[in-house]
Amino acid sequence: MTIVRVLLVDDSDVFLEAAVSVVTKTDGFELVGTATSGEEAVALAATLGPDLVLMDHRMPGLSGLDAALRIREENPNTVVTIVSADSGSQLRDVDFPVLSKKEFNPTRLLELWREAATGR
Amino acid sequence: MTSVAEAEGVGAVDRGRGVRIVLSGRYVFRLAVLVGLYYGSARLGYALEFSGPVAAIVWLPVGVAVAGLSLYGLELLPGALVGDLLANQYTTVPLGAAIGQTIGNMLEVVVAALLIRRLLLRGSPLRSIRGVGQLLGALALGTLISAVVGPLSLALAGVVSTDSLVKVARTWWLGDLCGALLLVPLAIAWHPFPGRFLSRRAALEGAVLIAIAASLAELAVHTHDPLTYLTFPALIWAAVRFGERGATLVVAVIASIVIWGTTHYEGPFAFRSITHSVLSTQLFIAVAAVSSLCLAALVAEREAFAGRLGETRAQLFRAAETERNRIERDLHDGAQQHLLALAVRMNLSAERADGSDGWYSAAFSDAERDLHVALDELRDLTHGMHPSVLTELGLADTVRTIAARSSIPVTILELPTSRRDERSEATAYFVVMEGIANAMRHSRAGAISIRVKNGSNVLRVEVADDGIGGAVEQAGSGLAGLRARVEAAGGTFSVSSAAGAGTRISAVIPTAA
Repeated sequence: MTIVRVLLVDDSDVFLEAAVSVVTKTDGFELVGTATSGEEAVALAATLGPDLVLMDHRMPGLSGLDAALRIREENPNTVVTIVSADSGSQLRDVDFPVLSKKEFNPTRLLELWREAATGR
Repeated sequence: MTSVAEAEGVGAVDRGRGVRIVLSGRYVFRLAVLVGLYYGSARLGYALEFSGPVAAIVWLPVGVAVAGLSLYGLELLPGALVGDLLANQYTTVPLGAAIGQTIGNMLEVVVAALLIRRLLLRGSPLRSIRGVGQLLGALALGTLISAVVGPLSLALAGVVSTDSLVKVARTWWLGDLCGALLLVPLAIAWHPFPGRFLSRRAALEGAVLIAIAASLAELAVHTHDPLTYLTFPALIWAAVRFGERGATLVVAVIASIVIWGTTHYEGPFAFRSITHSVLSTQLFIAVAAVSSLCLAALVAEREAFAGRLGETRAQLFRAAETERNRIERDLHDGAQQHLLALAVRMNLSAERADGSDGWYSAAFSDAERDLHVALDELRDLTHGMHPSVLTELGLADTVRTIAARSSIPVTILELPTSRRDERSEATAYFVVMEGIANAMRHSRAGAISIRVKNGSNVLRVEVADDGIGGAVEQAGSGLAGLRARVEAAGGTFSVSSAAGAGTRISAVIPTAA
């Protein structure tokens, strides 16, 4: 089984910490890095080349959506998912998979990855 | 190259060999106009017999000169001087007395103009009661000088007897004061001449007003009954509806007709005694002018106050909005993230506990469910504070989102297809949100309909329900808060809610260009 290398991005340290626990406890996932801003995420994605980026939606500076677009442009093979504290319905027009923070658990992460992998 | 002096119209330029006056074309033109108007108004006074035995009922040249020098500078004094020297009646008044009169007239003009120029530095004196008071003081003081110097010159030359000196001085003073009262405020109010400042409707109203004022004044002077007070409603109408411009113009129209009537032995002020006629006419003009100016100033003060109040209210709302934004951000970045992290950990723990005692797993799941309820409430609270979703989604999608959450079925009749500025969208959003919340709380309605429509430079919002109606805007209620919010954004707000006929709230919100 191939290991999914994950980059986690969130400007909230509290949520980032909880998210780290979820990713490290998800079978087949490996956390390769964390970033607390859109800019840092773009730089890290370029050097680490992750398979999956879990990107917080609302961040000061470069927004999650803008950072996601840039990462996808530079690394077409990377799956970028937007993670939102608000309800998912508000991001329905976004051209990225969306994950609500309330559903941030190993089961949903695996589902999301499977959907993305088959979609490609 | 144009020198500063030339740009100012006239100036003293030191060339080392003395001071030379630099004359610009504009200055010469203004000087010529002043000479013409001064001389013309004096001749008009003589021709229309606007004069009593010695002094005029209304001496318009003083108004012409004070207005000219006040608005365009004291350097126009030579224009007034030439006009005065040309207008003097050298055949009836000895040269010495005529020169004495001229000196008095020039002193009068200079003193009044100097004082008024100081007032004008602070803006139009006609827009406050204090300003009107100071203007009247300046005119009274200036004209008093001429009323002392002029009659004294005539007495010294033996043209008037010392017995009648006081009476002549009084007529002189009131005549000059009336001339100044008619023309100086008129000039200040209409200078610079405004371009299109009235709507078609207001222009029509203005024309009707002037026609009615003139008719009332005509009626008053064609009867010996004391009907002059009939003109006062027109004066009040002018001051209230058209401010200082209307007041000064209508006073001038009415005064012209009344003076004409009196000097042609018509109207309520035409008495056998000329002195009596003159005094009555002068007092009428002074009272009409002063009352109208005060009323117009009061109206202007009230309008300025209302404007400042509106601005303060808008500022207050902006400050409150900024504060709401800050709290929303703090809640989103702080409490909400902590609760979300907790929910994530609960979920993880519930999954881990799955293999062990079922009780633990159920307890974690219950706790996680409660947390989700708390998070939903927190989200609703923050959205009520400031709709950050609005910035991201726009008004149409946000309205769809809140409509979908309503417990009463919502029909969306119309939504805007293009974005508007953030402030008007936020105000429209709150109307929709509060409208739905209000219907859910009080209306017992079975259906709600929403219409948000893009107009030219406005957003029209309508939220209607088919409930029990009877909603009233009480102080502190959601509806009253909504009205305050819409009006602070410069919009209009209305509620129609007859008992049994449902409730319809409508708002028209101006949008930024």
